[in-house]
Amino acid sequence: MRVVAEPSVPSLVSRYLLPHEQAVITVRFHPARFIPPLVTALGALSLAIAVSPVLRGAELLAAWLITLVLIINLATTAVDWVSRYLVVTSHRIFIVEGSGITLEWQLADVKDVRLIRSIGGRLFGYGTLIFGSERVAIDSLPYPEQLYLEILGLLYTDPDAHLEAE
Amino acid sequence: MIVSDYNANTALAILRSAGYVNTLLGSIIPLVPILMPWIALLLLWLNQMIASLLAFTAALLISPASLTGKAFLSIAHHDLQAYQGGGWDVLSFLLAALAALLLIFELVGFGIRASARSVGLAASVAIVPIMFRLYPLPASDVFYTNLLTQPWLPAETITLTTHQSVTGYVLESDQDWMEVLRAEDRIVVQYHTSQVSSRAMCQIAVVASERPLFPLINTHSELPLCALPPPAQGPGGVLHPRQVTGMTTCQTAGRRCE
Repeated sequence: MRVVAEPSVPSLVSRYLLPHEQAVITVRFHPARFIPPLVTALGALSLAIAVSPVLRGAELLAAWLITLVLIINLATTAVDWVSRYLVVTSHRIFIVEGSGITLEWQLADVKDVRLIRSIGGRLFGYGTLIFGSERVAIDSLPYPEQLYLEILGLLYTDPDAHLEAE
Repeated sequence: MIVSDYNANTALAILRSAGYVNTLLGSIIPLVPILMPWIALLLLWLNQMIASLLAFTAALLISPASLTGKAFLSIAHHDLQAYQGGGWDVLSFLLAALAALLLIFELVGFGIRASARSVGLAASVAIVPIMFRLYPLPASDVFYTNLLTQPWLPAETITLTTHQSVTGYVLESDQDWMEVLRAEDRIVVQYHTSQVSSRAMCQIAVVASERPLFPLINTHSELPLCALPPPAQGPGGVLHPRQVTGMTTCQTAGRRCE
């Protein structure tokens, strides 16, 4: 089964594709990434509201400034999530963000891929792929088993496939 | 320079008398407890949870606080009694409940380290105002100015043979001469040991009140407070110490002025 999270390749991704290159997988990262900044922002907001009546002056300002920074952090995470994709093409694997391509491997250079799923990953449906001997990990990937199999399929093509086709 | 009241001559005299290493350590060590709470906060924001926790614990035990533990708890109790959140209570509670629920997910999904970081960051909303009360910002508060101007040496009341008392810090003492940094005007003076009838340790008043929030040893020092008389001047029976720094500098490196 081919995993295609987006019906069409986002424009952010397509601008980095070569003319002869075909995007096989394009997925956003798992929304579980929102949980830590969400916990922080909600906790801070709750505390700021709770302690505001007993604070004044610089103390009050400091409490709300910290809350604001943590809410901005949540917003930044959201913007980052919207514009961040893992892309697997017929030639390479890369992560694209608004700022450009941040991580890239040629498929020919990838010798080893491993999948790790934590308890939380199994609970929420995300996993971590570890690439190659450099042990570069990409976490919070949705549909981890499908992604893993799809990438393995690209790495290890069936030698008899072309014979069958003939 | 702070201890010498920004007098370069006095600073050099202290450096020569106390030695470079002692002066360096003596300058740095008093800063550690003062800066410890802010270092702890910085570590918290830099995601160094264990180090931050240790630094906060150290701050509670060693950093001079502007309030005693009892006074702080009393203020907290008073704030709690006077607290009237109104309708905001409900919103605050709902947000806290939602955050707690998500925290459980985070604990399961991301582990204890990430969860502790989230809790620490959120808690800094309450920690920072508390720190403002307990540990005022070093740059803007007279609390630290008073503390930093105190040298690392114990204060002493030196009684001279003329019954004149001098409060200061003994920088160096040998069989013949004693070098003293006078507390009131920060001038280094020398007394011949034959001029000194007695020495007694004492406590500068401003330093005596600076205690940590939770002192490990709860007993108060029995040292008497230092008396700070005006600088000794005038003719007659008053002994004239050798003034090393100040208006008349007569000490050069390596030898005493005659």
